[in-house]
This record gives sequence, C-alpha cells and structure tokens, in this order.
Amino acid sequence: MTDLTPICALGAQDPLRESYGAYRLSERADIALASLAGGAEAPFGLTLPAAGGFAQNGDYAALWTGVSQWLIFGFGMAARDISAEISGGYVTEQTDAWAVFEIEGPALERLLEKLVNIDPQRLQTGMGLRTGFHHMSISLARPAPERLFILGMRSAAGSLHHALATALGRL
Amino acid sequence: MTRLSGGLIDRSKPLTFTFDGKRYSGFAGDTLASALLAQDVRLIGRSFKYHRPRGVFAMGSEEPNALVELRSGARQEPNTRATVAELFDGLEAKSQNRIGSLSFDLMAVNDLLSPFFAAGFYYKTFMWPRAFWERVYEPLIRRAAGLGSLSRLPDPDAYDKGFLHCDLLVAGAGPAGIMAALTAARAGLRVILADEDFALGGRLLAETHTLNDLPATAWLSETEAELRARPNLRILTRTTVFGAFDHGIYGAVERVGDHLSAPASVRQTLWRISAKRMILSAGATERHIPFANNDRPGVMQASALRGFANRFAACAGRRVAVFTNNDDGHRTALDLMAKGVEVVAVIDPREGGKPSGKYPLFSGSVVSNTRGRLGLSAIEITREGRAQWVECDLLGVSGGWNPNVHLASHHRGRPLWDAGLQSFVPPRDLPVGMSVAGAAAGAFSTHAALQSGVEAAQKAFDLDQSPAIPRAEDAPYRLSPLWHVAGKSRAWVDFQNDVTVKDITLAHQENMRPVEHLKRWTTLGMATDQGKTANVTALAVMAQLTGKPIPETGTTIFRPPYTGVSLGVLGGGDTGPEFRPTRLTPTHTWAKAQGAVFVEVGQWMRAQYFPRAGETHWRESVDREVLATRAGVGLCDVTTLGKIDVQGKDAGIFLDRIYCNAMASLKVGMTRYGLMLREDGHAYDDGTCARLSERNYVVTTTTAQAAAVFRHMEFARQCLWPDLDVHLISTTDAWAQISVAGPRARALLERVVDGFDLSNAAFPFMACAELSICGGLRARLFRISFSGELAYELAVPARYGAALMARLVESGADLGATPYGTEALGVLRIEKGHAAGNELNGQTTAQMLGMGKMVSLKKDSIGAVLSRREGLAQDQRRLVGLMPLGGEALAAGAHLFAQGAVLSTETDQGWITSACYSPHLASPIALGFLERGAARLGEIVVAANPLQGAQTLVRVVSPHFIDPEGGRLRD
Repeated sequence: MTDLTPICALGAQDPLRESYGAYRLSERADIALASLAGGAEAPFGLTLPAAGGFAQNGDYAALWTGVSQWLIFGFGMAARDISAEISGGYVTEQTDAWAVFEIEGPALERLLEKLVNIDPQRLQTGMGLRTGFHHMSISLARPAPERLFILGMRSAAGSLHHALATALGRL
Repeated sequence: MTRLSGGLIDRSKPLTFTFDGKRYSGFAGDTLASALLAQDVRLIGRSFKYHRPRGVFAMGSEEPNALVELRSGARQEPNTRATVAELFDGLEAKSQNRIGSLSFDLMAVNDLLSPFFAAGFYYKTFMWPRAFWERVYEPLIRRAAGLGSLSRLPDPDAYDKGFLHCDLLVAGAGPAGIMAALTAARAGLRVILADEDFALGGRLLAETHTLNDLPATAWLSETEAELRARPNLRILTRTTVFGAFDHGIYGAVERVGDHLSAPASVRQTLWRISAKRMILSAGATERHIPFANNDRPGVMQASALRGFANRFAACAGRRVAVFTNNDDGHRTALDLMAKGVEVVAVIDPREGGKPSGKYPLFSGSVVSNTRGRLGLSAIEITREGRAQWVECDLLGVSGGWNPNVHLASHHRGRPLWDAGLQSFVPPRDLPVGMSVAGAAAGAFSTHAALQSGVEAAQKAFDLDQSPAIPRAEDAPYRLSPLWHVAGKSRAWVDFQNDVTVKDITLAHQENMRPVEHLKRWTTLGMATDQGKTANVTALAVMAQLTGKPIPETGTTIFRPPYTGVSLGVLGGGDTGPEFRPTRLTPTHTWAKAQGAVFVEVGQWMRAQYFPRAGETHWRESVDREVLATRAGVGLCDVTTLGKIDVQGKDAGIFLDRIYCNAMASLKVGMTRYGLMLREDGHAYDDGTCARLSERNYVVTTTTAQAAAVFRHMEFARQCLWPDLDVHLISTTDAWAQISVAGPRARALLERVVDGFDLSNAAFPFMACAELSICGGLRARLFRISFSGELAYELAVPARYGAALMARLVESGADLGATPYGTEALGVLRIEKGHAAGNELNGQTTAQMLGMGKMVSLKKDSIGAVLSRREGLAQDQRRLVGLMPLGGEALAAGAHLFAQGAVLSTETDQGWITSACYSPHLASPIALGFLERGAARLGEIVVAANPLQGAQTLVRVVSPHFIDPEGGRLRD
C-alpha cells in the first residue's frame, strides 16, 4: 500500500458532493475504469452492450464506446486495478483518465436538453452515448431513470463541473 | 383618451413606468407601445436620417418606428421595439436618435436638408477630400444617424443555450399554428409550438372574430388548456424561431427574462431545435400605401389600429380615418366604432363600394397628404384631382397583406408572386421538411387559416384524423392594388431607414434597377426591421417605374435572423475564463500552492515558472531552474504530452506505417524517438514510442498535436488499414508524468522506487519499464531526455501526481531537486537542439530537421514517398544553432540573410524558429533553418527583424549547444 495520498479530479482529497434543489451532483472518484477492445469475452458476468448501450451487473457495468470497444466500470473499486482482472481482448487501465460525475434527480430530460444535443429518447435507462458538451467530448450513461453518469477528461474536471453546476443551478 | 372598454389587459394589475423620465401607468398584459398609446402618447421617436417625428406604426415585431432605449445602466438596450416590449413595473424607456428633447430635436434640421440626403448620398457626397472620410465625415454621420446608444458596460445578464428534439416544430401560434400543433399532438407526435408573443392566439387576440359563435378567447383558452396538458407538446412563448438551418435544425431565442425588470436567472435562451418536420405559420404583415407625409405619428397600419383597440383597449386619438384598398381595412372602422371611437372617414380608392357600417366612405379616393407637426392633425383626401382636408388624429392604412415567408426562403428559395393575392407567397423549394400554413401561405381568412393548419400537419405526417375546426369567418380577400399615391412631396416606403418613393425613383434614374442595387443604393430594407413593412411595396414602386410586372422586377430573399438576435445569446452564455474549457495538470494544486505562474498552452494551464522570494524578474527564476537542472535534478510535469496506448497483434506493423522510422523492430522494454510525416511528406509530429510488451506500445505526442495525432491514427486504423488487429486508446489524462532530469536524477529516483535496479546496465538510456514506487504504487518509467541530461519520465496514476511531485521535491532537497516550468523546459531543449512545435510547424521536413535518414527506405510509411519528391527532397535548409556576436537578444521569426544582402524575399535564407537566453552559455541563443545550414557552421549571417528595424549578426553553430556527443544522456 503506497504512502502517497491520492486526490480527486477536482483537486480535493474528498469527492465533491453538491445539491441543487431536487438534484444531487457528485464526483464519483470510487469507480474503477478499464477500456476493453477486441473480440473479448464479457468480464464480470456482464453482457457487453451494442452501440448506444450501457449494461450493468451488480457492481460492474459496461458502456459501448466504439466498434468492439467498451468501457468497463467497477463501482467502489478505484483502488483496485480491474484491468488486471480482465482476461482476453485488449485492456487499458482508464480509472484516472476520466472525471466521472453523477447526477441524481427527477425529470432529467429537462437537464439533458440544457447540456447536450441529444434526443432524450436516445438516452433512456440502459443507454449510453458519446457527445459534445461545453466544447468538450464526454460520455453519458443512464443507469436509472433518475441517474446519469457524465464522463469527461479528468484534466477538464473543473470546466465540466462548472458547466454542470451552472446548468443545475438554473433548473 | 382614456382606455377603451374590453381588451385582454389585466386591469387588476396596474403597473407604472417612465418614458423620457415622465411617469405613466399601464396594466399587466400591455406592451410599452399599447400603454403609451392608451395615454395618447403618439410621438415616440425620431427617424434615422431626417429626424422626423415618429410614432407607433405596427403592433408586432415588424415595427419600424417606435424604437426606444429600454432600461438603464448596464442593462440599457437600444433599438428595442416598443411594440414587443412587455410592460413591467418600473420599466424605464427613453426615446433615441435626437439632440435636445424628443419634441424639439435639433437634428430635425436634416429634414430641411433632405435634398442632400437622397439615395446614394453616401457615395456621392463624401468623396473628397479623401482624408476627411475617417476623421470628419464618418464620425459626423455616425453621430447624426446612429440609432440608440450603448451603455459601454459589461452585460450583467446570463444567457443560456439548449437543444430540443421533436417530430414537429410549429413557428407561430395563431389559428393555423394552433390547429397544426393540435392535429399532430393528438396523433401522439412530439410537438413544439413556438410564438414570439407572450400569449397564444396570434391575430385572434387582436380581432373581434368569433369561433363557434363565441369570442375567440374562449376557444383559445380551452384549446391552450388541452395543449398544455399534453406531455408530448411543448409550448414556447416569448420565443422567436429566427432561422431555418441545415438538416432540419432551427434556431430559436426564448426571451426568458426580458419581461421582468431583471431576469430571475437567465435573460435569454438560445434553442437549437432539431425537428423532423416544421410548419411555418408566422402569419402576415399588413403593408401600407406610401403617400405624401405618410410618416407622421398617428399614421398606422389599419390592422394595428384595431388590434391595439381590441387587445389592449388602447387608441391614441379621438377622430380616426382609415385608408384602405381592400375589405379588411373596413373592419378597422367597424371595430373602432364598436368601441365608441369616432370614425371620420374611410378612404377607399375602389369605386362604387358601400360602407359596411355607419361611417363616411370616400370611394374612388386616396389620401394624398397629411398635416401635423409632432403628430397627425389632418389628412388630405383627393378624388379625381379635387382635394379636401379632413381633421383626424389617427389614420389606419391598409394596402393588403404580405405573407411572412421569411423562414421559407432561408435556404435560398425565391418567394412566388400570387397575382390573385397581389403578394409574394412561399417558394416551392422550401427548406427540407418545412411546410407553410395559414396567412403565411396566403390563407387569409380565419377559417382558411384553421383548416390549412390541420391540413399541413396531416400532410406532413400522413394523418387521417382532424380535430374539429371551429366555425369561423371566411371572408374573401378583395383587394385592388394601389402601391403608392403619386405626389410631389416625399412619401415614405421604408420608415426605419427613411427611404421614400423619390429615392426609388432616383435609383431608377441612376440605373440602380435590379433589386439588389436598389437596396444598396437607397439602404431600403437594411435597417433593424429588415424592411418587413417596406420591401414588397418598394418592389412594386420599382416595377411601376420600369414598366415590368412585379415578379420580373425581382423578389427579396430573406436570411436569418427573422428578428434581431442578441450577440450575448448567440455566444451561448459563458464569458471570461469559463468561455472555453481549461485543462489542469495532475500537479496543478501542488504548483499553485508553490506560487507557480501559469501559462495557457492550448487548453492546458501549465506552470510557466516557480518564482522564489527575492526574484524580481521571470528570467531570474527561469535561469535558476535551468542551472539547477543541469547541476542537480529538475522536476517538471509533462503530463500534457499526448499518450496513446497501442495494442494488438499488428501494433508493430501499424506503427511502422505511422512513423517514418521503424518501430516493429523495437525491443520490449525499450523506447525509441519517432517522427511522423504528413501524407505530403512534411514532418507532422514527433515523440517517443515505448514497447511495454510484445503487443503493447505507448506512443507519446507533442502537447499541441495530441488530439490531432490520435485522430490521425484512428483514421488510419479504421479507414486505411481496417484489416490490422490494432486498438488505440488515449491515456493522456490517466497518467501523471513527471520529468526527472539532471545528473542526480538517478540518485533521486532510487529513493522512491520499490527495489528497482536503475543502474546503467539494468536500465540503460531509452529503456522503459512498468514498476512500483513509494510502497506499491504502480508506475511506468521511461529513460528519455528532452533536456540533454540524464533524465527519466516517471508516470503514476493521475490522482497520485501531486503527491509524487511533492515527494520528489521533498526527498530530493539535498540533491538540489528543483521544480521547473515550461520556460525552463524550453530553454533546456533549445540548448540541446531538440525540435518542438516551432520547428514542427507543418512547413518543415525530416531533412530540414537533420533527420532525413530516419525516413526508412526499408518499409513504406505515411508520407515517405512524397518526402522524396522533387522539390521537397532538394530543400537545402537545415536546422542550425545561432549565437549573436554582440550578445544581443534574438527573436523567433527573424529572417536570415547573407551579410550584405538586400533584405528581400528573393535573398531570404531561412528564419529563426526558437530563441532564448541560455544561462548555461551566458548568451542569447537560437535555433533556425538556414539554407545549406549544415555546411555553414562558423559563418556569420544576419538575423533581420525588419518590422522592428533590428539587424543582428549571428554565428552559425551546431544546434546542440550542450553535450553534442550525448554523453550525459547515457551516463
């Protein structure tokens, strides 16, 4: 166990948690991420989703990111290297490549229309998409009707948070 | 006159406001225009050129005259149309474009000088002396002819943007738009119904028509309740659909907070609406008939006159006349009489008509002149050459209706002339997915509008069902064209830009006959209202002059925006530092705590240098950082370099094709410098490529080109060689990478690695490895050097970057561990002669960089063949080092010439790419490309900076100012 202390994407030791009326915005620093490419077997009992899909199985999930390419999520596993646990295919450790934000709240369609040029019908539960947001490339995943993951470049976490917080503050 | 009876204003909610400092009152539901008219304020502004008194002319967004400055302080907004400014308590409005008071405008002298301001006067009057244009004429014209004034303060308001998706977008919520929306919504389609007004209904709000024998408002409120209850329909009021763009995308501005004294949150929202189909139901605009002095306050559209009375119970006069060439104008007389207003004359140029009510009808007559200094007091009615004056204070004019075809021609479709309607109707080649309904399509009766709305929606989606169409008036549109009343005095066509029939006549005489020339010569239609009330009339006047039919004379094509759109809302909201995203390095918080000075590098903020107490100039800090690195060990966050994970059975083959030098032959555990070429043979990007395992490489790119190189590689993978088993993923942000450079780098690293052998034998120059540090943290180590020193780059998961940097500085204190920023990084690499962005600027080749032999002949790679092409291969410019003879500073961008040569493009021998002060050499140094540079070492050439008049003698030297043999790297 290293004696170095990690920090979250926004620069603090603890992940950010904020409330905006009925909405909660959290920085999810606990999620381990790994990209998986090639004709791989589905790890962790997951069903690897088709284009535009986001599939969850217990503490794991998979987001389609390209042809034969997925991002694997391990919730609460950031301290682990889940890429080492995936066999087959081509795997790249990605935990720190992304800042992951989670938004929880009702009627997320009203929020989505202020964030991204995506028809909310294409981002129902179990769907995920890559798109542009505030001049950044992001990935979106909808694990539940009232929950949304927003993944952006870790280095741009501050800008991502600014844009999300602004939109939430205006709802 | 006080308020009339009725209307849709809320008399239980009185509001107060000021106009030119004077207090007035109004009611909720009023516009600024209606509230002023209800209090007999007819004079509202001054005209653009002649400073003629002007009042409210229309009731909607087409208003040409009643422009005011709204609000004060930073929120002051010029050129706001009083007709669309919703009244709120405390509203402040000021008249504009005047010197002195509104009723005594000193600039009104322009009206007397009008012969000098005829069409094209800009081009004729201010030609000489030439020097006067910028210093005298332009400021004068701007002062005299500007409309409102700006606050010159930062905009305090927030703007928002958003994206909407629907099956059907309906622009305009009059009878046609409501029926179209209802038809589609009942069929389960996703519908957006937008209207620029704050209430639904369009013209129904301004008329006394009944629907199903009840006031239209009854049907409206019942229908609106149904529409609002439907989850698949969204109503956007105060929203103008301003443009039809490609692929079914429409731009709309929602004025979220413009009807409030200060917006609660955002002021306006820019909506980008993706609609499978769009129905344009924007209604029609009543046109006027130019006659002498037709611009006095009190002369209005006949439809506006009755609309203000019906909707707002506002009428700014006691004696009203109507001048109309069609049946619709007579409605104005009837509606006003029903409200108790005296109608003194209805003037109809058609012969033999009968009045439809008890008002004096002047058949076969025209209005030929007016009187009244600051507002209408009398009109001259002429019949067969005999004139009589009739006193009145309001005159409604109706010359017929022009369908609002604007959005229908946003894709260059030319509106068509309908001889029956005597109007332009929407073009046949509409934007894909658009159809037009209601008055915008020439369906002028209420019944026709309602029905066409249903039909448009049915046709768009192949629907059978129709909502019940309420019973409504279906009066025929009877009109006898009258385009202007001939006379000697000026008759206004375009009120806002002060263009008269005389101006059009002059343009005709001066052969400015095509409509495009007419427009530019007279400035017709070029004001903020874009000639909504003028364009067709002007065409008709020109047609009469040329003797050609109107459609042959031309038509006008409209462009977005339909009405003015603020730059604030187009900008999308964020200003200042959040205008675009910023990327921070993993050590940012640490560097900030150290007092680092940051610099923008693309989107990145990088530490530029770390000033210490007592240092008063950035050079002191940078020199110290450079010397500390060369003497001990320096630490720099180099995370911003692009990192691309390349995996696959064919990764080596793939990289052999991407890089001009070989990569497949790279041994596992080793790193190689790589150069990529562009297709055209020029150098593209450079960096290192490390082989971590048989099937796994890590490519690094320059900071600037990280995204471009990744895109380039993805393109090659997906499109050029899809048969290769290769997978790419960016890991730039995943790893914090710290350069540990200097003779004591190894000693420092030995203190953090977990039992890893760093000896030269075990881990030589260009080695790489995966290892663990600081008690079990996974890491990657590359023995590469950008500074020319013994150097490593150590990568750890990004979240540990700041802690690692702090640890290295702390545990290396006795070794002289010194953090350095991008300035020192630049100095170190210039001293070593390493190329960077300045040398890889897209115009240079491998040969020029001294790396011509790297372009492998044993394999093919992107750009290899074209790098050998004639013209490129012969380029003799080479990278050299340059040192000033007299110690002068050198500037990147200076050009190189042989001594004694004339400075010209022909004698140009190259240029300086990078320059700095080298503390190591205690002299300014530079890198540059020089003609036959490699063969000219020792020669003295001129570095010329003619822009700043500088010429410096420089000696040509090796680009490797330090350790040219590379011994330090390999220590």
